[in-house]
Amino acid sequence: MDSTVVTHSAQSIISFEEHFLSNGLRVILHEDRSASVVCLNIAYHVGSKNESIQRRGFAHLFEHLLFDGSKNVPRGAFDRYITEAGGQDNAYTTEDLTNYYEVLPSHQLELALWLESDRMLEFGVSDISLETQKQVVKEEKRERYDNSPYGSVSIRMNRLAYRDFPYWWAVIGDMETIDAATLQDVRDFFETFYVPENAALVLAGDFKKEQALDRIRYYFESIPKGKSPIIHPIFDEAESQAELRQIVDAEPVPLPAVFYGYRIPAEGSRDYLALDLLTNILSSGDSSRLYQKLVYQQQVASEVAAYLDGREMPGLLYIHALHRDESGTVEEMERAIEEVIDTVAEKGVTEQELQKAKNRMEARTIAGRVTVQGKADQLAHAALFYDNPARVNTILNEYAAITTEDIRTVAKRYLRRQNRCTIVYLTSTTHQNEEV
Amino acid sequence: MNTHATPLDRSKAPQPGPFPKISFPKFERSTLTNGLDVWTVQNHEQPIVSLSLYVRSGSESDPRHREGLASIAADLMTKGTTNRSATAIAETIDFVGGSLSAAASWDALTVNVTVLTKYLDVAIDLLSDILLNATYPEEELERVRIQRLAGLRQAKADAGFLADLVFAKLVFEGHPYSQQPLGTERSVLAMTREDVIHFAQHHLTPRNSFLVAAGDIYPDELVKALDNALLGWPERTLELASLSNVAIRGGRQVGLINREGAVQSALRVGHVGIPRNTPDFIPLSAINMMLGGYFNSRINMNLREKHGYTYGARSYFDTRLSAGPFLVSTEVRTEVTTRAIEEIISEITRFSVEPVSEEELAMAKNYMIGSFPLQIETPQQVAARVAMLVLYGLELDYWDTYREKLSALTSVGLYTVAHEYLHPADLTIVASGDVPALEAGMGEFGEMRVFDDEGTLIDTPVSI
Repeated sequence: MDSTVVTHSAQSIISFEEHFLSNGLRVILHEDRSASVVCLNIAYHVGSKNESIQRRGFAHLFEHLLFDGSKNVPRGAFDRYITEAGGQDNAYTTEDLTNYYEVLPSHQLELALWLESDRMLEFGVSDISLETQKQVVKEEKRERYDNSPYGSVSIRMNRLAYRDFPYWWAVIGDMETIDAATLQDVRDFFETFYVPENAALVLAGDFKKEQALDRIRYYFESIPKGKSPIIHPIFDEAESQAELRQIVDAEPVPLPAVFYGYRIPAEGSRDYLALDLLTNILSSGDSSRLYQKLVYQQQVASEVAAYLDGREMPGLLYIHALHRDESGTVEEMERAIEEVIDTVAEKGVTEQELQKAKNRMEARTIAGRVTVQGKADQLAHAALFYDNPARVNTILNEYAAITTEDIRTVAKRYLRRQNRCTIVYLTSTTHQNEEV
Repeated sequence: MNTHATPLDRSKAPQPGPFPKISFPKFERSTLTNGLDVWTVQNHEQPIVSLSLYVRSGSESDPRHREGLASIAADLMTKGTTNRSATAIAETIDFVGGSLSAAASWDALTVNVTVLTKYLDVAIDLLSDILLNATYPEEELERVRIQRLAGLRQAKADAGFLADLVFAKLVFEGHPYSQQPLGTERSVLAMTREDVIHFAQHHLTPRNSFLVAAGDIYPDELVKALDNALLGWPERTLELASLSNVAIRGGRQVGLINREGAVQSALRVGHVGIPRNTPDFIPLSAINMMLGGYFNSRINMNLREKHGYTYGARSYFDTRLSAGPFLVSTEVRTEVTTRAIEEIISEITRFSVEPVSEEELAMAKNYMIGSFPLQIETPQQVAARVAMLVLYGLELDYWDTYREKLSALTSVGLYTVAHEYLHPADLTIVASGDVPALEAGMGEFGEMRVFDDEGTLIDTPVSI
């Protein structure tokens, strides 16, 4: 560890306690009494990569269903209880995990424990819920993916980038496989994955630790362990060997665009952290390299961005650019992006740029901690992905230890043409031009 | 608490503990030598600070043929001073991992800078440089123009954007609220550096502005530093527009925008609503909450949970200095568009003709009162609420009495208010979607007009 850099980090520590209940449930408590708010966050280690190929989209459909009835909480009551308590609840599903949370005024803590323990204990989903939520999820797909410009990109990119591994389908799934879900599937999925030993429970906010732990034991410790083994698909082939390219000309988009997806190592690895800093250097802020070249100087693009789609298994680094003109060509943007990447891979970045990226990472991490929900999410994520919630307090030191040489190395190794998939969107104007 | 003495009974929801004693966090006002009011909200939980400067001139001050002026002026403010080029400004804020942004809303132009506490001096230096020395360079205007035109082109591909545009046009005809706050292709092309400088000279002054600082700060130190840094900010003659409320237009009308082959329709249904400072604001917030303000509202439960027409549906009173819109907003699949509109109309009608049940009211009140602690959790949230008081001239104890006023609402009282402010017979209905598939069913709702993606009428009224 490079201590001269570490001393610059602001002291923002999330203090917490960790316990394991006898049924295997991992419990993490972070006491913060500065506002009268509590957050209960439960992350289950199940996502779309655990689905069967005939039930693509099921983990996310299941997330919707888990709000729609459990043993003692009838359909529709979950949201009513939370709402009436002045709280908020939500959930999200990724390829790797499903996260549920409630934020409540602190005197309603027990309500959240009761609701979450009830739906971990026994689900109570009916046919009508299943049919309604299929419709809702299909509308979600239409709104976000089918009826939105460039909305299909993540679906297309996954198909190109992962041929054999279950990352090849999108979390949202497909209309047919969503329709195919049965109540028996719901029951099987619940019994396999929604078990205490496959979850991390984080409670953050305004409570007393000892008392809260006592109440957590009271509600959760009697929930039995699961009966079937949980299989997590494993995949570690980080790089691909040849560029795959797809041209999309039949979807209405306002501006020509190019999307690159480079295969990168799993989230949290040292290379991943270096790539995280590298995407900052490439596109965070108006002083970043891609912005300066494509938007500010050459003015070929109206927008350019580089970002990570980090996953438990090898994920993707995205770079995308939208042209400034309806009738512009994608090639000039591609040339400019490649020049920027080649320069970094050959000459590296400056110390000043790297420090800037580290400063930004520090600010981003601290800004994510102004709410109890933000802190709970960081803890749950570190528990599930790294099996180490304490990493929230050391991750900035890990970033601080990355060198300019590390940045050059990862740029050279991962941002290669052979290691990427490319999706190009043409507008109706550019499409016609090409035909002429 | 004697926890294990009672056996676990999961069949009933647990009783809540006593409501936490919370009060709206304290905030202070100071006035700088140049006349600028500075409001501070202290909170030392995380080492982070935000400074937000509000200029009381937003998009509603855009001249008729310069739609988008306030928002372009905001974009340009951070793009050059007599001391720093646009890139130097970006480099300064990016290096400390902070954020600097300027944007125009209807009622204000806001410059926000957020940094870790240890970089507060950088934030103050940048903010004062921008306010005192902005140069609005010609070549940066060209860049902003290109960006804006591309942005508008992109926005036009969004069904919801087009529906909002036509809705505003139909509901606020002749009023600045019918204009596009981001500008139109034509107005953006016509914008000159002189327009922007004129705007800055006649709006951007200490007495037409106020600043709200929040987070890990100490007011005395901050005020002293700001007083020094902003000493040279000159006061000038203001050119402020006065706005009147638009009357609700009688009868129903329909606006359609064609997006051939779209699988969903973006719907906007509503009429002129209320200004922010209306005395009935709190009862109307409760009414809107039950109608379409939250997940458990009538409109969302009907359209999403009962019928599965949509991923979500909401209603709003978008309140501004003068009366903004009341509207229901949702995206539904093409085949159910007319049925969804019928359900929306019937929910608005039901609300205006019969009182809500005590149970429904209790739930909304509990939600609004109970969620208050969540809405003032962070210093930035508190600061935004303080800014609202100042910008709209509300009482300074507004947030202290807010929960009492909510809890005093009655079903009968709300019925009178709903009856006065909801006008189901005078709704403007806009759908952006696959017009050939929609046209047949839409005529029943009122006089129908079709618009292109510039919001220009392309068809004479069709009668079915």
